[in-house]
Amino acid sequence: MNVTVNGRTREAAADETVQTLLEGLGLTAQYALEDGDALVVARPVAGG
Amino acid sequence: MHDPLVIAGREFRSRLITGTGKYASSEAMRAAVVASGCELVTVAVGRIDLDTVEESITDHLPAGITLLPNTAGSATAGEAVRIARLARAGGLPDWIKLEVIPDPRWLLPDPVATLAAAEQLVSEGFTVLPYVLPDPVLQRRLEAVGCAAVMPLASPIGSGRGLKLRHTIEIMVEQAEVPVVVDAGLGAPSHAAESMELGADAVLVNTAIARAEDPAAMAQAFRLGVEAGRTARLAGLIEEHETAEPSSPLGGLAARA
Repeated sequence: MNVTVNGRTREAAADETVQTLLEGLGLTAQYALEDGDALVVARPVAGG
Repeated sequence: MHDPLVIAGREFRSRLITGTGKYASSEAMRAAVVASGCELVTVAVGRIDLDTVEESITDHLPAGITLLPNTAGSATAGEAVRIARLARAGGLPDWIKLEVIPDPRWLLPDPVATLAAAEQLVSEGFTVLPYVLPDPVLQRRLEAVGCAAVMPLASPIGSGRGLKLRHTIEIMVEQAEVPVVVDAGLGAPSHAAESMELGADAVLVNTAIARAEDPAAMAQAFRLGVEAGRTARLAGLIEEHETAEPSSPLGGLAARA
């Protein structure tokens, strides 16, 4: 099964969770949002 | 004097909100935020680039600062709602500065889309602070759907032109049921003071501070401007007159002896 995170496709194991998937990418699961069949991982950046 | 800014039941000592964009460095941004005395700063919501190691803006903000995520980059109501949901999913506060800006030249907000997005976000439990053109009719509609504040622009974003739409903002202040936060276009501390003198509850400043030669000093100047304007508002400004009124008594002066 392939999962796309921020545009990057990664193969996910059958027992993989969002948390383990993101940890594998060096990300914290706190910033995940499912967007259809993909995940978007965002965080605060400078803005007005 | 205890005179807090109250938005959605939450008190803030400072009536100056600052943005975090456009600074030359994170250090300059932090110094300015500290000097401003603000407690609420706006941030955008960005997608993490998996190919680069990026610092987090939160690492550079002083303790005790509350983040106000915005929906920058939204050109439609749907995009704004999506960014707000993304911010909340990311652990950011569910307060959202709602901005729907389809026009890249003037960066003016879309009132119809803003109202639609506001209604949706309020229904989802967000505390919504919409960025709007000064429009007392739209203000009433936004209040009716449950917005916690309204944020009329003084003049186009980043223009530094000050209160070009003063009269309409005065109407908004006069009829306001939720705080009015003047946002965008303030280029000088005197603009902030003027906004507060006319009765705004707070102001939001980014470019004028971030692009100053000394952002921290300018942040302090805006802080003082906001405090001066608010104090003057509470003190009661005199009415303007067409003609002069002498400050000294007309009778009994030495010159008339």
